[in-house]
Amino acid sequence: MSIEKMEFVNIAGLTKDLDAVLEKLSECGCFHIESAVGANAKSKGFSSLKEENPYNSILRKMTEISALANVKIGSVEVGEDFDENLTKDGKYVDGVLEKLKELAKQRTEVTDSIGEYERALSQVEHLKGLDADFEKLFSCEHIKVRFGRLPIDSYNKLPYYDDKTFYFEYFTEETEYYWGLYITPVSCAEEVDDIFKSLYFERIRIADFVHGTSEDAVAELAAKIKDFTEKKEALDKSISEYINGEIKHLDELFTHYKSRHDNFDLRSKAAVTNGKFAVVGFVPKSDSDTFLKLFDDMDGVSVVMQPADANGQLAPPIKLRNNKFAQPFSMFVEMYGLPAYNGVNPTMFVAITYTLFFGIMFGDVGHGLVIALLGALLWKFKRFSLGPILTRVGISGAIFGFIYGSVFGYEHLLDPVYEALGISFLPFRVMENVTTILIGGIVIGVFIMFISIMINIIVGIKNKEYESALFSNNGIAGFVFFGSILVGAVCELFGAHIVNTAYILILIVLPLIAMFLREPLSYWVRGKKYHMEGGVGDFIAANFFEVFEFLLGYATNTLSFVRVGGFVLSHASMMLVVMALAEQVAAGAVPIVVIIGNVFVMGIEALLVGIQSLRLEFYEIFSRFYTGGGTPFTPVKINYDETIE
Amino acid sequence: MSNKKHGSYTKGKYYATVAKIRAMYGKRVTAEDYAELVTKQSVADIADYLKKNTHYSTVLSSVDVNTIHRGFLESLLQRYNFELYGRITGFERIGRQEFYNFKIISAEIDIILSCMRFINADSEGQIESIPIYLNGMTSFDLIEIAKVRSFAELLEFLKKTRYYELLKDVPTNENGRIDCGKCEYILRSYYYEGLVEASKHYRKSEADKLDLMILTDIDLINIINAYRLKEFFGSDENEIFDKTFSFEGRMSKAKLEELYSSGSGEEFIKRFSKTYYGRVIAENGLDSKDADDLELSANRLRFKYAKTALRDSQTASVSVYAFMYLMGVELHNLISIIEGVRYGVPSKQIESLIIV
Repeated sequence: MSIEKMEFVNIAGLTKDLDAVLEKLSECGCFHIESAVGANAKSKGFSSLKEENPYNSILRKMTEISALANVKIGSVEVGEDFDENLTKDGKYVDGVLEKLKELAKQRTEVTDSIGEYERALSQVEHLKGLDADFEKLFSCEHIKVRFGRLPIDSYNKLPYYDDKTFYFEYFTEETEYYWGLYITPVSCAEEVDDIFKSLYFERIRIADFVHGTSEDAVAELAAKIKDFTEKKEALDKSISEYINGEIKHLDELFTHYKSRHDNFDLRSKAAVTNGKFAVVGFVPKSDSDTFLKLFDDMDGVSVVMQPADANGQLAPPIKLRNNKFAQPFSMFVEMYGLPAYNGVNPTMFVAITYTLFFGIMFGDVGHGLVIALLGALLWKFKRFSLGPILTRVGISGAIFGFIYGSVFGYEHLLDPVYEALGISFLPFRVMENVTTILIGGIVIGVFIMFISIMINIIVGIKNKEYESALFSNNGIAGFVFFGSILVGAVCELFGAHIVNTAYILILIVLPLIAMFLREPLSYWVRGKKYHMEGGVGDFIAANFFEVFEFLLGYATNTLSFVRVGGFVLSHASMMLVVMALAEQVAAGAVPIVVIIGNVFVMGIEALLVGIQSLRLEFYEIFSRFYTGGGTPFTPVKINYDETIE
Repeated sequence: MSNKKHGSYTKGKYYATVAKIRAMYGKRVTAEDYAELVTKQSVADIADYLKKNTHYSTVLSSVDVNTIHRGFLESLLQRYNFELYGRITGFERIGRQEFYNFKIISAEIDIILSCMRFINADSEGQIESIPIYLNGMTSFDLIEIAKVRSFAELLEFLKKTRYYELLKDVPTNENGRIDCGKCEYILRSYYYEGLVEASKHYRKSEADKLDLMILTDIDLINIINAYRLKEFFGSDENEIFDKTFSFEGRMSKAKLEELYSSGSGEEFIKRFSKTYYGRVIAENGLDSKDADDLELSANRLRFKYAKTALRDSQTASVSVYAFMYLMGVELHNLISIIEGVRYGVPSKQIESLIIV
């Protein structure tokens, strides 16, 4: 349960070997690269390489291929049968792209035609009932025929124009419009067109390819659309067949080009001068031997390993080392921020406390097992990172459910089990032990707070941060003060009178003074002289309020753990409601009410308890000992995840 | 209108209508919508926004927003406004009560006045602006009135309607032109008289609330008209009184005399600011940024009164009157935006006209 130790690596060699070195680095999977120019190399005359990646163009073409063929191009294992000739001049990719462009062009033409015919069909369908040949109508010499739609309000105004020479007939009706035509003599067309324009008549142009009566035209257009749809399907099939024939090569080429592309990008991290290069980075100490062996066959390349803090400008990256149980919870730690290199890895502590909190608050055998199963399925099928956490906390919930004797809200289902096992002290009925549950929550909280303070003391002493370790509210002074208050209060409560003047002065007042004077005291411990900035008045005012805040913090943080007990009760109460509802309904409806009630309670409680547990971790525990700010360890590798869609 | 006493229509409370109106008002176009609409670049964009984001989506469902004509869009919105009125009054069948004729009478008066203006302008385009969807509900045929070409024809056409008696003595000049201002005064007076009279049919508390709302409206309309006459025509006190609707609201005759005797539009505004309405406008921050825009301030006050009336009302009559006024303002706002955008008015300027 620690932070992986790192080695600072300095690789130098001749520029001709740079690409080979970078390829090895991306293949090894354990090298965290840093900018060599930023790491002092600049002062030695080195500069960075500023080049355009030559593989950008070919990868863009492959992206285009992927889009045209609607196919996913991804990475594959490049076998021995990979034809290197395909990579020459990029002609193969150009050829595939040209072929696809040609097929796609044909498909676009066909799609456009379908759209055009569909638009014409929708227009002509509105004119169904017109028993006249469109061609004949349009070829009339003495009359003009206009097709379109007229607002119904405007249609109702037509009687006003009784003295005008036109005839309007509608064939179909929409919400606001009549679809139809008006006919007018050529000599009156201009005036009648103006009238209809003022009536908001929306004219449609019947396409030249529409022939016959409206019924004929509808049939003809439908047939044309069918033909073109078949053509489109055939083209889609051709594209699909063609791309399926080429996909193996395309995947191999993608893998080939992407690795070169990403390796080329790494060149920007290197520093070069006079035909030499320098690459710097970090390698986990456990991998350093294997890493060194990678370069055994490269004579001109030197690899120097140094302690992680050898380069003052580069902070070592953080790789958390966790066991299988704690591993999924690193997500929460990363969410808060990685620890500093010389800090502490809190993942195991988070894993234990989070699982404990969740289990206590979510205690139900049935609910816990369902959540655990759901987590396992989410991980198996979706690789959902919360899945393994759900599995762990679900099992914890089931264990506490066994203690509470609750299975899907049924509080007596496990009674025979306890009898058979001869366990007399179980079940621990939640609703019959409300006070114990609430006090229990606080006790657990206080215990965890003390552990958090102890961690802070240990880390502080290790890092020689004496102010934090000895005199702060989370240091020895705080530990003694908070512990003495609690011990004194509990003893007094149970009749053991241990609180006297000496107890108060030594165990309560003295730590308080230490917290008040923590800054000058830490200087004194380090043998340094303390300079009070801003005068005595400022010092007293600032530290008075800070100490006051510490005292408030002890009270509020302790009470915050009441929520653990509160959610135990809320879970049990909600299930009581579900069961009460189930008793009110007809026998046939009971399973439905119980199932829906359980699903509802499980969903809402899992969400609430999950959030509250995380809140306790971040606010009440992490704030006592944890400082983030670490950089994640990200070994260089080819990013094949960026598949071309 | 008849002379029924207070309380003729007290059988039903029509709470459902009140509740329905509140629900419908909840779907109004909001300040955020207006802010979005004024930034649109074309009528098509406005139609698209209204279709997708507002209660006008139903009336715009089948229109092609890309090709819609400004005039058609406006006519659809106007018709929808009337449909709202139909839905409310039809909900508990309160439309049979005389009071609820106000919307039809108001529309008829607008059509007659529009017809007169077309006659005076020797123009024949009235049919385009006729709200044909009202045909059948109005007391005259809307197609036929659009065919009228002279005042004599108009009087003949209106002979069987309530408007004939009101207009028959209005003289025309030697060119056959009509004094539209005088006709408007006569017709609107008739409309307000009818409203006040019809409100008396309700129980006293309801009638009092209706009266207060109607008379406040009339007060503010009188003030707006008087200001226009003073500012743009330099009319004197008597000329203004001749065109003032004679109903006493919150402004006594003495107060009006003081206001109308102002020497200029500027003085009129100063004196107005000391009246009851002027103080309310200032207290509620309804003053127009443009200090001279008394009309906008007065209309904002009317809008505020209507909102308050709708919020506090427990009766259908007050709710319907207030709601239709508010919807009328909404329609006016939208038409201002549509025309502003169509004719390239800067969005800030359009925004200043919006009452919300």
